[in-house]
Amino acid sequence: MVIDLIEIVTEYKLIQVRELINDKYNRYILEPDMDISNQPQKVKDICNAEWNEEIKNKWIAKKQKDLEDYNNLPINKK
Amino acid sequence: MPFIGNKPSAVPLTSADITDGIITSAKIADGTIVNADINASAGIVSTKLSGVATQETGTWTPSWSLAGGSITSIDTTAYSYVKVGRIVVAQVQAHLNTSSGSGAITFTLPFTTSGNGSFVGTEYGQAGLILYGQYADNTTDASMAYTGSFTQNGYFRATVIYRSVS
Repeated sequence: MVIDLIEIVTEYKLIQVRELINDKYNRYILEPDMDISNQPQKVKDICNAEWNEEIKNKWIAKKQKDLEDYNNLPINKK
Repeated sequence: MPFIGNKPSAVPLTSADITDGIITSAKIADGTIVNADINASAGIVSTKLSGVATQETGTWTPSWSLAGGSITSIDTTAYSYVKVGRIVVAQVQAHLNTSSGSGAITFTLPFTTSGNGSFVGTEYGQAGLILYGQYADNTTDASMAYTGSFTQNGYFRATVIYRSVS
């Protein structure tokens, strides 16, 4: 397995990781409030460089807002 | 007048008369290269073709969570995606073993979303339920749920079609 692409997207500094496994791609996304202890060092370094407390708090606030919006949708109140 | 440069071995010139790597773009008249000049095995990557949407296929590794309970294990999984330009088609299937359960099931997507959207999922192995799914703008998660009590140990499938941020 080789990590062939690491993308940092949006103001929340989400980390999109692409791996190359037997000539096929596999992806996953890391969010600023996630545990990255099991990540490869290369990924950890980028996460630690990008995710300061401000970014983490901003992301947590956004997720909370998204959850409130989701729960307030009429279809979710039935 | 003496010949300047490499003297051609024959007229017209052959490939051997031209030094390797010296023909530049400036020496090729605009509009002269045609389809037949490109070898079928050239394998030009789409990122080098202006105006052509890039395409990527693969699998991804989602994280799962359950709003009103805990997931003890996951099996029977199949996660695949196709991305053409910014359009993503993500197919997900998983059997979630839950100790208890209610509320929305959430899984992470292969790419960050751009715009809010909805999708439909199913619980196909136990109660045979239709689930309605939603995702928010600028996020990595998709959630799906249905009205009523949650069936434990459900088999879930969904296809999420959405626009990604890049």
